[in-house]
Amino acid sequence: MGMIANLLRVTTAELETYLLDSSLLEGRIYSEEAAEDQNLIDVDKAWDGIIFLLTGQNIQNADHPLVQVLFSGQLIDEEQDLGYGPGHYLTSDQVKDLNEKISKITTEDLKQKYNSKQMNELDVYPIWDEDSFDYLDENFKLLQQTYAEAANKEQAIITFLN
Amino acid sequence: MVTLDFWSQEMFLDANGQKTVTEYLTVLINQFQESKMEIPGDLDEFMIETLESLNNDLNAIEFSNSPIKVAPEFENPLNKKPKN
Repeated sequence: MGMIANLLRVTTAELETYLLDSSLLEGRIYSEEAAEDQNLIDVDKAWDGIIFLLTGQNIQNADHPLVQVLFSGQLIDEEQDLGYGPGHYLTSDQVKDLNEKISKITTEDLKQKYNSKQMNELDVYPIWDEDSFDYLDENFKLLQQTYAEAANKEQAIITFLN
Repeated sequence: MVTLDFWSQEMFLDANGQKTVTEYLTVLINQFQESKMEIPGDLDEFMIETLESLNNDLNAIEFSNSPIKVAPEFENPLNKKPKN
């Protein structure tokens, strides 16, 4: 299956609940109903590639503010392992702020930054090929849609790898 | 504490004592196919290098000539249900 990045749109009240009891988050994302949860989407294995296109770095070295779209550094519960580590969260205000920034990014902007050779040299996960840009673009658009919808509904976002 | 890169983490967690190296290569190929990504031409070489590093450098996995049961503490406790 590989390492998949997930985004869960939640209300501020839900976020506060999960911060108080992270087991409720785990229960939600691994429940039978999770597959039908319209607030839970994934960007497949495109996450590190998206980070590269946004920052020019891989996730392990990135210090650019846009890294936060997938890894805010604000942890739901540092002791919790949702597959590959804990979940990260963004408040609704932070979501709006990031949405402002990423909503303006176009396919052409991303295409100019796509460089599979450099991505592989930087160990950007998984492994990139000259023809893999469309895969990244498709998943970036999904990310943009998720942020736009969350910003519109004043939702927070929780991200995690599994 | 040793922090593994992403591929090493993934292969460590995938090392369940039940797959041959050839079967595992098929698993990785399927991952790329499922994501409609190009399959890297050197995926086999990359996989073997990473597995050997996990075995030789980090002593994190071991190879066996027959299937073995992995200790419970090394099993990944979580499995996401695929979306329909």
